[in-house]
Amino acid sequence: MHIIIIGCGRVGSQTANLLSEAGHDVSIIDLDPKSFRRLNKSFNGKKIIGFGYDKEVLESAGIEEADAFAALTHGDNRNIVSALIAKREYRVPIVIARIYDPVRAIVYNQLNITTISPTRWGANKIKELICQKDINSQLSLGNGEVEIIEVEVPYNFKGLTYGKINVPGEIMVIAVTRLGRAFVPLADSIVKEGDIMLLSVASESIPKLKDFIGLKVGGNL
Amino acid sequence: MNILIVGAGKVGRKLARDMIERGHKVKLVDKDELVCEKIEKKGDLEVICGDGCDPLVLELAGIKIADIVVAVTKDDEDNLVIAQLAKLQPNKPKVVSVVNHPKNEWLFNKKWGIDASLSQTSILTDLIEQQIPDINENN
Repeated sequence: MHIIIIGCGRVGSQTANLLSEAGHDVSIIDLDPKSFRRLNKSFNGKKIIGFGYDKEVLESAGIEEADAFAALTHGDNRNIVSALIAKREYRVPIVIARIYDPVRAIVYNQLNITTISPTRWGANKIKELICQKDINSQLSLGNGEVEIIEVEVPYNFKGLTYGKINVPGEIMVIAVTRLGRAFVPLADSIVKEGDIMLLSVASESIPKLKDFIGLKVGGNL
Repeated sequence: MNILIVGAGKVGRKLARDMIERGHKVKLVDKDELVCEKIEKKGDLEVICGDGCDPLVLELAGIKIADIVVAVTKDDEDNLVIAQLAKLQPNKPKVVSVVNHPKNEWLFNKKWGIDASLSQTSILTDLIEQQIPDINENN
Protein backbone atom coordinates (compact mmCIF):
# COMPACT_ATOMS: atom_id res chain seq x y z
CA MET A 1 0.00 0.00 0.00
CA HIS A 2 1.02 3.58 -0.52
CA ILE A 3 0.57 5.38 2.80
CA ILE A 4 1.01 9.04 3.70
CA ILE A 5 1.71 10.12 7.27
CA ILE A 6 1.58 13.73 8.43
CA GLY A 7 3.66 14.48 11.51
CA CYS A 8 6.89 12.71 12.43
CA GLY A 9 6.49 12.90 16.21
CA ARG A 10 6.57 9.86 18.45
CA VAL A 11 3.38 8.32 17.12
CA GLY A 12 3.95 9.37 13.52
CA SER A 13 7.51 8.04 13.35
CA GLN A 14 6.56 4.80 15.10
CA THR A 15 3.66 4.24 12.71
CA ALA A 16 5.91 5.01 9.73
CA ASN A 17 8.56 2.57 11.00
CA LEU A 18 6.05 -0.22 11.51
CA LEU A 19 4.41 0.23 8.12
CA SER A 20 7.75 0.53 6.34
CA GLU A 21 8.99 -2.65 8.05
CA ALA A 22 5.83 -4.41 6.92
CA GLY A 23 6.82 -3.62 3.35
CA HIS A 24 4.53 -0.68 2.64
CA ASP A 25 5.47 2.33 0.64
CA VAL A 26 5.38 5.20 3.15
CA SER A 27 5.74 8.97 2.65
CA ILE A 28 6.10 11.00 5.81
CA ILE A 29 5.65 14.77 5.98
CA ASP A 30 6.83 17.12 8.72
CA LEU A 31 7.72 20.80 8.93
CA ASP A 32 10.80 20.09 11.02
CA PRO A 33 13.57 18.18 9.22
CA LYS A 34 15.06 17.22 12.61
CA SER A 35 11.96 15.17 13.38
CA PHE A 36 13.01 12.57 10.79
CA ARG A 37 15.76 11.45 13.18
CA ARG A 38 13.05 9.45 14.93
CA LEU A 39 12.78 7.16 11.92
CA ASN A 40 14.69 3.87 11.87
CA LYS A 41 17.80 3.59 9.74
CA SER A 42 16.00 0.93 7.73
CA PHE A 43 13.11 3.29 6.88
CA ASN A 44 13.13 3.42 3.11
CA GLY A 45 10.15 5.68 2.48
CA LYS A 46 10.04 9.28 1.35
CA LYS A 47 10.68 12.10 3.85
CA ILE A 48 9.13 15.40 2.87
CA ILE A 49 9.58 18.74 4.61
CA GLY A 50 6.45 20.85 4.54
CA PHE A 51 2.92 21.57 5.68
CA GLY A 52 0.37 18.78 5.89
CA TYR A 53 -2.19 20.71 3.92
CA ASP A 54 -0.05 22.25 1.26
CA LYS A 55 -1.29 21.02 -2.10
CA GLU A 56 2.19 20.79 -3.65
CA VAL A 57 3.59 18.95 -0.65
CA LEU A 58 0.72 16.46 -0.60
CA GLU A 59 1.02 15.83 -4.30
CA SER A 60 4.76 15.30 -4.09
CA ALA A 61 4.00 12.69 -1.42
CA GLY A 62 1.83 10.94 -3.99
CA ILE A 63 -1.57 11.64 -2.43
CA GLU A 64 -3.32 11.06 -5.75
CA GLU A 65 -2.41 7.37 -5.60
CA ALA A 66 -2.47 6.94 -1.82
CA ASP A 67 -4.32 3.98 -0.29
CA ALA A 68 -4.23 5.38 3.22
CA PHE A 69 -3.61 8.67 4.99
CA ALA A 70 -2.92 9.32 8.67
CA ALA A 71 -2.77 12.82 10.19
CA LEU A 72 -0.72 12.47 13.38
CA THR A 73 0.66 15.92 14.20
CA HIS A 74 0.29 17.56 17.62
CA GLY A 75 -2.42 19.92 16.39
CA ASP A 76 -6.00 18.72 16.36
CA ASN A 77 -7.05 21.37 13.85
CA ARG A 78 -4.15 20.65 11.55
CA ASN A 79 -4.96 16.95 11.67
CA ILE A 80 -8.61 17.41 10.90
CA VAL A 81 -7.95 19.79 8.00
CA SER A 82 -5.30 17.47 6.49
CA ALA A 83 -7.58 14.47 6.91
CA LEU A 84 -10.51 16.26 5.28
CA ILE A 85 -8.30 17.26 2.33
CA ALA A 86 -7.29 13.62 1.84
CA LYS A 87 -10.92 12.52 1.99
CA ARG A 88 -12.67 15.32 0.10
CA GLU A 89 -10.13 16.48 -2.44
CA TYR A 90 -8.26 13.23 -3.17
CA ARG A 91 -10.73 10.53 -2.12
CA VAL A 92 -8.13 8.51 -0.23
CA PRO A 93 -9.94 5.30 0.88
CA ILE A 94 -8.61 5.11 4.44
CA VAL A 95 -8.21 8.34 6.39
CA ILE A 96 -7.31 8.55 10.07
CA ALA A 97 -6.84 11.62 12.26
CA ARG A 98 -5.43 11.78 15.75
CA ILE A 99 -7.54 14.10 17.89
CA TYR A 100 -6.53 14.79 21.49
CA ASP A 101 -9.77 16.46 22.55
CA PRO A 102 -12.38 13.70 23.05
CA VAL A 103 -15.31 16.10 22.49
CA ARG A 104 -13.93 17.13 19.14
CA ALA A 105 -13.21 13.53 18.22
CA ILE A 106 -16.91 12.71 18.54
CA VAL A 107 -17.89 15.72 16.43
CA TYR A 108 -15.35 14.93 13.73
CA ASN A 109 -16.64 11.39 13.42
CA GLN A 110 -19.71 13.05 11.91
CA LEU A 111 -17.44 14.28 9.10
CA ASN A 112 -16.72 10.65 8.16
CA ILE A 113 -13.16 10.74 9.42
CA THR A 114 -11.91 7.91 11.59
CA THR A 115 -10.52 9.56 14.67
CA ILE A 116 -8.16 8.16 17.27
CA SER A 117 -8.35 9.93 20.59
CA PRO A 118 -5.29 8.85 22.59
CA THR A 119 -6.66 10.73 25.57
CA ARG A 120 -9.89 8.78 25.75
CA TRP A 121 -8.34 5.48 24.70
CA GLY A 122 -5.57 5.86 27.28
CA ALA A 123 -7.98 6.85 30.05
CA ASN A 124 -10.25 3.88 29.28
CA LYS A 125 -7.29 1.51 29.22
CA ILE A 126 -5.85 2.79 32.49
CA LYS A 127 -9.23 2.58 34.19
CA GLU A 128 -9.53 -0.97 32.94
CA LEU A 129 -6.11 -1.91 34.27
CA ILE A 130 -6.95 -0.49 37.67
CA CYS A 131 -10.51 -1.73 38.04
CA GLN A 132 -10.80 -4.87 35.95
CA LYS A 133 -7.51 -6.62 36.35
CA ASP A 134 -9.15 -10.02 36.05
CA ILE A 135 -10.78 -9.34 32.68
CA ASN A 136 -8.82 -10.58 29.71
CA SER A 137 -9.62 -8.31 26.77
CA GLN A 138 -8.71 -9.72 23.36
CA LEU A 139 -9.50 -6.59 21.42
CA SER A 140 -10.49 -3.06 22.24
CA LEU A 141 -12.80 -1.36 19.72
CA GLY A 142 -13.10 2.32 18.89
CA ASN A 143 -11.59 4.19 21.80
CA GLY A 144 -12.25 1.39 24.24
CA GLU A 145 -16.04 1.70 24.36
CA VAL A 146 -16.44 -1.95 23.41
CA GLU A 147 -14.19 -4.82 24.45
CA ILE A 148 -13.98 -8.30 23.00
CA ILE A 149 -13.45 -10.65 25.92
CA GLU A 150 -12.74 -14.37 26.06
CA VAL A 151 -14.27 -16.23 28.97
CA GLU A 152 -14.70 -19.86 29.89
CA VAL A 153 -18.31 -20.47 30.84
CA PRO A 154 -18.76 -20.75 34.58
CA TYR A 155 -19.76 -24.16 35.90
CA ASN A 156 -23.23 -23.02 36.94
CA PHE A 157 -24.08 -21.89 33.36
CA LYS A 158 -24.16 -25.51 32.19
CA GLY A 159 -27.50 -26.34 30.54
CA LEU A 160 -28.52 -22.70 30.00
CA THR A 161 -29.07 -21.40 26.48
CA TYR A 162 -26.68 -18.88 24.97
CA GLY A 163 -29.61 -16.54 24.34
CA LYS A 164 -29.97 -16.13 28.10
CA ILE A 165 -26.44 -14.76 28.42
CA ASN A 166 -27.00 -11.86 26.01
CA VAL A 167 -27.96 -8.48 27.46
CA PRO A 168 -29.18 -6.26 24.59
CA GLY A 169 -26.85 -3.34 24.03
CA GLU A 170 -24.43 -4.50 26.72
CA ILE A 171 -23.22 -8.06 26.46
CA MET A 172 -23.37 -10.39 23.48
CA VAL A 173 -21.90 -13.82 22.83
CA ILE A 174 -20.36 -13.62 19.36
CA ALA A 175 -18.64 -17.01 19.17
CA VAL A 176 -18.11 -20.18 21.13
CA THR A 177 -15.17 -22.56 21.01
CA ARG A 178 -16.03 -26.12 22.00
CA LEU A 179 -13.43 -28.91 21.90
CA GLY A 180 -11.25 -26.79 19.62
CA ARG A 181 -13.99 -25.93 17.10
CA ALA A 182 -15.55 -22.49 16.95
CA PHE A 183 -19.13 -21.63 16.02
CA VAL A 184 -21.61 -18.79 16.25
CA PRO A 185 -24.21 -19.84 18.81
CA LEU A 186 -27.95 -19.65 18.22
CA ALA A 187 -30.19 -18.22 20.92
CA ASP A 188 -31.21 -21.76 21.86
CA SER A 189 -27.74 -23.36 21.68
CA ILE A 190 -27.10 -25.13 24.99
CA VAL A 191 -24.08 -24.15 27.09
CA LYS A 192 -21.72 -27.10 27.71
CA GLU A 193 -19.02 -27.43 30.29
CA GLY A 194 -15.65 -26.26 28.98
CA ASP A 195 -17.12 -23.92 26.35
CA ILE A 196 -15.11 -20.80 25.77
CA MET A 197 -17.20 -17.77 24.86
CA LEU A 198 -16.05 -14.73 22.94
CA LEU A 199 -18.10 -11.82 24.20
CA SER A 200 -18.62 -8.35 22.87
CA VAL A 201 -19.08 -6.14 25.94
CA ALA A 202 -19.74 -2.41 26.35
CA SER A 203 -16.91 -1.19 28.60
CA GLU A 204 -19.35 0.23 31.18
CA SER A 205 -21.00 -3.19 31.42
CA ILE A 206 -17.80 -4.99 32.39
CA PRO A 207 -18.64 -4.82 36.12
CA LYS A 208 -22.02 -6.35 35.28
CA LEU A 209 -20.30 -9.14 33.36
CA LYS A 210 -17.96 -9.76 36.29
CA ASP A 211 -20.95 -10.01 38.59
CA PHE A 212 -22.71 -12.24 36.15
CA ILE A 213 -19.99 -14.81 35.76
CA GLY A 214 -18.67 -14.64 39.32
CA LEU A 215 -15.29 -13.18 38.36
CA LYS A 216 -14.11 -16.37 36.68
CA VAL A 217 -12.67 -14.52 33.74
CA GLY A 218 -9.52 -15.21 31.77
CA GLY A 219 -10.22 -17.98 29.26
CA ASN A 220 -7.58 -20.31 30.65
CA LEU A 221 -8.99 -21.16 34.07
CA MET B 1 -29.83 38.75 12.29
CA ASN B 2 -27.61 36.83 14.71
CA ILE B 3 -23.98 37.08 13.72
CA LEU B 4 -21.22 35.07 15.36
CA ILE B 5 -17.71 36.34 14.74
CA VAL B 6 -14.78 34.08 15.61
CA GLY B 7 -11.52 35.99 15.98
CA ALA B 8 -11.64 39.32 17.81
CA GLY B 9 -8.66 40.94 16.14
CA LYS B 10 -8.90 44.32 14.44
CA VAL B 11 -11.06 42.95 11.65
CA GLY B 12 -13.37 41.02 13.97
CA ARG B 13 -13.93 43.95 16.32
CA LYS B 14 -14.49 46.51 13.59
CA LEU B 15 -16.90 44.17 11.87
CA ALA B 16 -18.77 43.56 15.12
CA ARG B 17 -19.24 47.29 15.73
CA ASP B 18 -20.37 47.93 12.15
CA MET B 19 -22.89 45.10 12.32
CA ILE B 20 -24.30 46.29 15.65
CA GLU B 21 -24.71 49.77 14.15
CA ARG B 22 -26.76 48.19 11.39
CA GLY B 23 -29.03 46.62 13.95
CA HIS B 24 -27.70 43.05 14.08
CA LYS B 25 -27.04 40.98 17.17
CA VAL B 26 -23.34 40.13 17.38
CA LYS B 27 -21.26 37.81 19.53
CA LEU B 28 -17.48 37.57 19.38
CA VAL B 29 -15.28 34.60 20.26
CA ASP B 30 -11.54 34.76 20.86
CA LYS B 31 -9.09 32.47 22.61
CA ASP B 32 -6.71 35.25 23.66
CA GLU B 33 -7.59 36.22 27.24
CA LEU B 34 -5.89 39.62 27.01
CA VAL B 35 -7.90 40.50 23.91
CA CYS B 36 -11.12 39.42 25.64
CA GLU B 37 -10.32 41.43 28.77
CA LYS B 38 -9.73 44.59 26.72
CA ILE B 39 -13.06 44.18 24.95
CA GLU B 40 -14.87 43.51 28.19
CA LYS B 41 -13.37 46.64 29.75
CA LYS B 42 -14.61 48.75 26.88
CA GLY B 43 -17.99 47.14 27.38
CA ASP B 44 -19.58 47.77 23.97
CA LEU B 45 -19.26 44.23 22.60
CA GLU B 46 -20.25 40.80 23.84
CA VAL B 47 -17.26 38.45 23.82
CA ILE B 48 -16.84 34.80 24.80
CA CYS B 49 -13.31 33.83 25.75
CA GLY B 50 -12.48 30.39 24.39
CA ASP B 51 -11.20 28.37 21.46
CA GLY B 52 -13.55 28.87 18.51
CA CYS B 53 -12.58 25.43 17.20
CA ASP B 54 -14.06 23.82 20.29
CA PRO B 55 -17.64 22.68 19.64
CA LEU B 56 -18.62 23.47 23.24
CA VAL B 57 -17.35 27.05 23.03
CA LEU B 58 -19.25 27.62 19.80
CA GLU B 59 -22.40 26.27 21.37
CA LEU B 60 -21.96 28.60 24.32
CA ALA B 61 -21.58 31.47 21.87
CA GLY B 62 -24.92 30.56 20.32
CA ILE B 63 -23.88 28.95 17.05
CA LYS B 64 -27.19 27.08 17.00
CA ILE B 65 -29.12 30.32 16.55
CA ALA B 66 -26.60 32.12 14.36
CA ASP B 67 -27.63 33.17 10.86
CA ILE B 68 -24.07 33.94 9.85
CA VAL B 69 -20.75 32.70 11.20
CA VAL B 70 -17.71 34.82 10.35
CA ALA B 71 -14.29 33.15 10.67
CA VAL B 72 -11.61 35.83 10.90
CA THR B 73 -8.84 34.19 12.93
CA LYS B 74 -5.19 34.44 11.94
CA ASP B 75 -5.04 30.70 11.30
CA ASP B 76 -6.44 29.26 8.10
CA GLU B 77 -6.80 25.81 9.62
CA ASP B 78 -8.85 27.31 12.46
CA ASN B 79 -11.08 29.15 9.98
CA LEU B 80 -11.63 25.92 8.06
CA VAL B 81 -12.46 23.97 11.21
CA ILE B 82 -14.94 26.67 12.32
CA ALA B 83 -16.68 26.39 8.94
CA GLN B 84 -16.94 22.57 9.26
CA LEU B 85 -18.40 22.86 12.75
CA ALA B 86 -20.86 25.55 11.62
CA LYS B 87 -22.18 23.38 8.81
CA LEU B 88 -22.72 20.46 11.20
CA GLN B 89 -25.33 22.53 13.04
CA PRO B 90 -28.97 21.86 12.21
CA ASN B 91 -29.56 25.56 11.43
CA LYS B 92 -26.78 25.53 8.77
CA PRO B 93 -25.60 29.13 9.16
CA LYS B 94 -23.94 30.93 6.28
CA VAL B 95 -20.17 31.02 6.65
CA VAL B 96 -17.93 33.89 5.63
CA SER B 97 -14.17 33.59 6.10
CA VAL B 98 -10.87 35.29 5.47
CA VAL B 99 -7.97 33.42 3.87
CA ASN B 100 -4.65 34.37 5.48
CA HIS B 101 -2.30 32.50 3.18
CA PRO B 102 -3.02 32.55 -0.57
CA LYS B 103 -1.77 28.96 -0.79
CA ASN B 104 -4.87 27.85 1.10
CA GLU B 105 -7.38 29.59 -1.16
CA TRP B 106 -8.24 26.35 -2.97
CA LEU B 107 -9.96 25.07 0.18
CA PHE B 108 -12.18 28.07 0.88
CA ASN B 109 -15.21 27.08 -1.15
CA LYS B 110 -18.73 25.65 -0.86
CA LYS B 111 -17.44 22.09 -0.61
CA TRP B 112 -15.74 23.14 2.61
CA GLY B 113 -18.84 24.87 3.91
CA ILE B 114 -17.64 28.38 3.08
CA ASP B 115 -20.20 30.54 1.32
CA ALA B 116 -17.92 33.53 0.78
CA SER B 117 -14.24 34.16 1.39
CA LEU B 118 -11.75 36.96 1.05
CA SER B 119 -8.01 36.70 0.49
CA GLN B 120 -6.31 40.01 1.13
CA THR B 121 -3.03 38.95 -0.42
CA SER B 122 -4.70 37.89 -3.65
CA ILE B 123 -6.64 41.12 -3.88
CA LEU B 124 -3.46 43.12 -3.34
CA THR B 125 -1.63 41.02 -5.93
CA ASP B 126 -4.41 41.72 -8.44
CA LEU B 127 -4.35 45.42 -7.64
CA ILE B 128 -0.60 45.60 -8.06
CA GLU B 129 -0.74 43.75 -11.33
CA GLN B 130 -3.40 46.13 -12.58
CA GLN B 131 -1.07 49.03 -11.79
CA ILE B 132 1.92 47.55 -13.63
CA PRO B 133 0.82 48.52 -17.18
CA ASP B 134 0.33 52.11 -15.95
CA ILE B 135 3.80 52.14 -14.41
CA ASN B 136 5.26 50.77 -17.63
CA GLU B 137 3.43 53.42 -19.65
CA ASN B 138 4.69 56.17 -17.37
CA ASN B 139 8.24 54.98 -17.88
